[in-house]
Amino acid sequence: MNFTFSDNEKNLFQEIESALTQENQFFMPGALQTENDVARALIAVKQKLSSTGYFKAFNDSSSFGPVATLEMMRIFARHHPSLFLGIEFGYRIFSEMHQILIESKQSLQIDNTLSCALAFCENFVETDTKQSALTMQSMDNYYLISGEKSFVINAGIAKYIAVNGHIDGKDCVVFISTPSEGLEFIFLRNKRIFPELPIANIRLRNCPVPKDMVLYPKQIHTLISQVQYFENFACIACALGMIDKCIETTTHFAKTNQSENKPLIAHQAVAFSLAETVTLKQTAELLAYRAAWMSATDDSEKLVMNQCAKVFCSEAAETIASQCMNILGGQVFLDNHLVEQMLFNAKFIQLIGSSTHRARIEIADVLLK
Amino acid sequence: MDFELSKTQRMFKKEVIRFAKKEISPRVQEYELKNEFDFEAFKKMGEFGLLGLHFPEDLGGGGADVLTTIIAGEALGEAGVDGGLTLAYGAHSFLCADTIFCHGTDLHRQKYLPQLISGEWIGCMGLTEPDAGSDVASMKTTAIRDGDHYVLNGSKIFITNGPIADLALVYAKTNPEKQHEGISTFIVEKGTKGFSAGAPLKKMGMRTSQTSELFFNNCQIPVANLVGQEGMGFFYAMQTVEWDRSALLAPMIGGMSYAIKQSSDYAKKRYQFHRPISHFQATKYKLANMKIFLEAARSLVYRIAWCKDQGQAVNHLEAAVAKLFIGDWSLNPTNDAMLIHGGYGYCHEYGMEMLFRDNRLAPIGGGTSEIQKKIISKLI
Repeated sequence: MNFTFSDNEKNLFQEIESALTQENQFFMPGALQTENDVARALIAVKQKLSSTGYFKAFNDSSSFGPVATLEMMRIFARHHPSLFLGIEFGYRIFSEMHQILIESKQSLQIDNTLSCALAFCENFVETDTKQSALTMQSMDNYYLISGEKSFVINAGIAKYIAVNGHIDGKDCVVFISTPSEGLEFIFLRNKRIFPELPIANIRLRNCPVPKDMVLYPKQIHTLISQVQYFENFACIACALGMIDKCIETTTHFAKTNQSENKPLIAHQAVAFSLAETVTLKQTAELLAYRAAWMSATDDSEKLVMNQCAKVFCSEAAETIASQCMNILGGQVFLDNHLVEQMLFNAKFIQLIGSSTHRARIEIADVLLK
Repeated sequence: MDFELSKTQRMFKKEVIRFAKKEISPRVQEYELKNEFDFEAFKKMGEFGLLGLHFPEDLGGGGADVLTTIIAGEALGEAGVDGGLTLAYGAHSFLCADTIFCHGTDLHRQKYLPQLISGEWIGCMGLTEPDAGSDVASMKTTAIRDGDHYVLNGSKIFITNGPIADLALVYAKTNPEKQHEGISTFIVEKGTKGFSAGAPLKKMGMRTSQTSELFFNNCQIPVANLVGQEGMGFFYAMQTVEWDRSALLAPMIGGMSYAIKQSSDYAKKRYQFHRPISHFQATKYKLANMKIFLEAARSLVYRIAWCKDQGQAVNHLEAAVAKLFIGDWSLNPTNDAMLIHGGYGYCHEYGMEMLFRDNRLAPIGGGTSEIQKKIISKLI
């Protein structure tokens, strides 16, 4: 066993910090007003991080390994949770899915270095491929696709949208390039979550898609669960990054503000509450590291560990945000305070990937085998 | 980072589970109902090598690293060994014998450790007093030097193994004017004049471990029984914290594995509304929460063990985090294990109510959750 990062890994984390600090203009409040602003920021940050090895696949033998990768992701999430999720969903997760398709001998003629959005959710309900209401009409060398998908992250800025559905009773994944005829975005403008992240519902009305952009993975459930596996790691890192920032902000406030002639942190109720947040943070990060480490092993429990970490980290983020709000007081409701934002964000990352509900059921199913 | 257990460690864990399931677990219910200590099981643990696993082989120990020692404790819990016996083992091997090993003289080691490691003798640690629990420095027990002797006066309470111990490692003030730095550590053998143990306390859980008061009434002990240096007792007691946060918590981790297995098996067999209760999502939620707790807690305990193996100085923050998390967050999953069993969970036969009662000690013993929060908040 080894519970520490190597010097090389620590240097790498420093490099990530420096790279992100250089892109600080995108992290300022109000810097990302439009989808175009976000698209520009994603490209700039991606270019900056590419040289560090940030985007190497989790189990790429030339990478620093999954635990170090998770830590890099956490550092990014600490700087800017919205851009972080945009990058992860737009590039890493799509790239991992692309790799899975290639490994299952499905060839896809698209550039996996371009950003992509995943549209697997319908009617705000979790992925259930059997329930998909998407219709596909076969024409000469293309399909006409109709239907709706909800909560599409990176909608409007992604070059491709991956949509799941059925054709002739077979499960499939369709890659729609954007813009496309018959493809409409309904942006969720007043959402309380990840404010800078473009999220939209999409509407497809006889949207033509070339037949070579439709893949028929043999096991769509396996594909989706593997995608969710990587989405879960993004959620885990996002939770850890937000937790770091939240505790840092609250601890600073508790040390520099006074009540009854002594610092807030000198009051036992405040100190003990902070102690609980630190306990949750340390526990969450260790569980996350172990889940990441296990992803590179043949251990049959790696899916369960991934889900355990997803549930624990995302729920810890909510608990911590709530406790920090009690310490920070009314200020959290002003000017999009980061701790208030974290409370909403934490709720969202409980829902995406494997939702905490679904994850618990799947964890138990393994225990009950 | 690397979280892999070695092949030897994995095999050893299986061996301990096999041993405990054969030699100890079948006797747990009987002794728990009688509120009695299982001397035979304890002796067998000594014969198997568990009581001195981490001590050097020349003293009769197993020469194992800390992580392997922790895994053995986890395995006991996983095999269904009750918290009372594992607590007795922890107090004996880590709080008593290890302090003698670390800070005693060669004579102390040669004289006491082989007997403690074999299980021939049972050890205990006397620190807590009626008016000095978390606030150790306020202890009233004194040890005043008188020529070649120290004279001990005072009393201790909540001492695990107190009524059955052959040897007590006692903390007393050699300089009552001082706070922590006035505390020293002594070996007091059973039968020493002026030393006696009270009757076993009747407890909610951990019932097979015998807990009592210790009384010192002009109890004379030779100067040679001072462990380490005068005034260093508090420091020695705090060094046991590493064990408290790893070896003493490990059986609870194993106990959660045991509870998950028992609860899953029960849920599959128990039919209500024409289907097994394992088909109900409410049951699955409870099982999942138990598993999430188990994995989260396991990482914390292994980390403390690993740090100790690396020879790193005790990290009070990480130790306190482990103790606080397992102490406070274990209450719900143990409750869930009992609830899955329904009415049977409330009865002794299925072992879940025992687990529930035993785990109530987690936020109290070895430093309360409040003390852990105090430590953590000071270190933030």
